[in-house]
Amino acid sequence: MEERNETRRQAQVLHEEMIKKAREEAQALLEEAKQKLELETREIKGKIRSDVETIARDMASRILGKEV
Amino acid sequence: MNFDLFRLVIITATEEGNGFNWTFVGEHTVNLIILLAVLAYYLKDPIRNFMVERRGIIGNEIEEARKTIEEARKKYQEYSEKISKMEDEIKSLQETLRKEGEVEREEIVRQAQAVSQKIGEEARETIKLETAKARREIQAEAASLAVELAESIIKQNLKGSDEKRFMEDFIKKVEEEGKWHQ
Repeated sequence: MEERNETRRQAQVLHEEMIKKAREEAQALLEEAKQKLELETREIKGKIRSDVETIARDMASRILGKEV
Repeated sequence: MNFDLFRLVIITATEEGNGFNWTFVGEHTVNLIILLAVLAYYLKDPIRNFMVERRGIIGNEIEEARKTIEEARKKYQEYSEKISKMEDEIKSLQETLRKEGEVEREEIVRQAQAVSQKIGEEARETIKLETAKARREIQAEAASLAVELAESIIKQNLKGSDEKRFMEDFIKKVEEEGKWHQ
């Protein structure tokens, strides 16, 4: 019975370690993804400024019916 | 005791004369033989009976002792077998408990793996949702910026002739709308 309790205790410890490791890995993955997303968002926002200007001019030209 | 009696006879025989008195010894020896013969005659049967009875008692005691030893041997054998069986049962029980423990351990580890996998999936799903949200925000911001910029450009390039043309286009569209409704 003691041996079984010891096996159960070891399994519980292993269970907690696995969950803890999974949480840490998930947290690290989220942090990495968040940083990557912020960086890419900044880059995209910088890149689309010129595209936005082109689009705005195109919109204005269509509305006014002449090239601006 | 016999030795003491013999020594007494020797000493007595020696004290009565200067030499060894063979007559005295002979008389007493004869008396002793007669006494022993009389005793043997009268005590023969009781002694024999006593001996037979004693032999029977001792035989019974030996037989009982043999039976007791045999029973003890059987009991010993029986308890040895029982102890052996109990040891086997204890080993079997220990093995069963060990296997059950292993199964329980595997189940706990399996649950932990499932929970870990779910945590990972939730993290990936969160990343996916955050990426989509960021994409929508960028699109909305770009659209808003484009509209603001277009409005600014239009205001800068809007002339009187354009206003007149817009008015004419507007009236034309209203008229077409009226025709459609009729």
